Amino acid sequence: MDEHDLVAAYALDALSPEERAQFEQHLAACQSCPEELAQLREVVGILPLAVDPIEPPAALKSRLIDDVTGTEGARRLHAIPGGRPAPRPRPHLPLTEILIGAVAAAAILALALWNISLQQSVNSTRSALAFQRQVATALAHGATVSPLAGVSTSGAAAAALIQPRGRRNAYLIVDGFPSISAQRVYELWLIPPHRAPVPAGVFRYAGTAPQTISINRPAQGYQLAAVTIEPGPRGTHVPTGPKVVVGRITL
Amino acid sequence: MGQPEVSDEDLIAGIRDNDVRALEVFYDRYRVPAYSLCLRLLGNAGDAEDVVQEAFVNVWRAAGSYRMERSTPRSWLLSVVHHRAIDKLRARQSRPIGVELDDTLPLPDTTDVWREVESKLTGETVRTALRSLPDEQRETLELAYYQGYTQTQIAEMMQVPLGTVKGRMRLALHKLRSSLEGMQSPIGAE
Repeated sequence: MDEHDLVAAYALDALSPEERAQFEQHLAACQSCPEELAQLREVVGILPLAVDPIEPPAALKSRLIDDVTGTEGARRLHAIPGGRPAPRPRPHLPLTEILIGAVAAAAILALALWNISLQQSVNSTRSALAFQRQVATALAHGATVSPLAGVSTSGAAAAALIQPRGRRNAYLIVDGFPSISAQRVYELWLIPPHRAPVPAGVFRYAGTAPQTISINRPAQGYQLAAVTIEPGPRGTHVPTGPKVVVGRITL
Repeated sequence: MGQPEVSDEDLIAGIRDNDVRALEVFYDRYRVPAYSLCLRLLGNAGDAEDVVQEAFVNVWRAAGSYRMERSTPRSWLLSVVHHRAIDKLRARQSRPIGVELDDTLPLPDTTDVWREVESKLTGETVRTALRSLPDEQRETLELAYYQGYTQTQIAEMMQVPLGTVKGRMRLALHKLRSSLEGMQSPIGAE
């Protein structure tokens, strides 16, 4: 077969995985295909304009912004090596993070899942007092907790998904997760009924105490939650690695 | 008097610097073509929303790898959208293709001529150019790009040899390019 002939199908994403690999091997050595592929890709790039315009739901933008800010929050909390540089501080984020710790810890205290010391979540007397107030607020407003059980190969791993009532975000508490290599991260998945898992953020686990991870989307509408081990620093878009914990979301 | 519009390249630079506002503006600018393409390919609003969200998250995470000389931000985004939609479509058929954009391929840069052409294109211009293609070429392009079939599947559906499908795809894209360049060139410009 003449691999040159695959150039248009490659530009159009119309090759099988095997053909695609074959063409990419050819492309690396070919004198003419790179230039033709570049030209064809330009044309392919304008094909979406021919589709009749349809406005997406307004809520999609909020989901997107929640997604990227949630990811950033998780990265800032756990400082994943090799990830994006730390974002510029935004005024609302520190408060959000403090609140996240407060609500999550409140739920844990209420259900006695773990004996988290409040002092592990704060680093000064002043913030400890603020934390206490937020715990009280969170308890007053209520939250539901969905335990996620460790799979048999993940040792003492346990987690809980915390959904404060009436909030657009949720929290994940993790404890006892196994050590993983520096090239891997933990990734949370929220799974709607009959739909593919939705990536909900990546994090590392320091292995010394329970940790709180912010999830900038509500748990409503999802049936299951799971954490898997995925390639770092950004995780993946579909689960590929072993499950660590999994459980049904009860709201 | 309104503010001058921020260029797509400046928005990508903002996104690279973790400016969520830049992402919002970029999203507002291209949400409609991105969503429309996904809906056309996937035929399901939920899946289309998921793919659009994933594609913009990809832009957020990979803005640092965007190369201005390689493609416009719009083409880059819509390529990501198409790749991901195709991946989801084929995953439904239990045969995920694992398509990923490979920006490391050693390809020549986008020419200034094409950049100029692209900047003036409208949906109607592209539709007109598509209509000008011979039927069999247009249908092949439709099945491949807008419906996500592989060249082998198209050969079976159209009951023609695989080599014919390859040829039609290639001819169609080259003709489309010539046609669009012709439409955009002022008379006498050579």
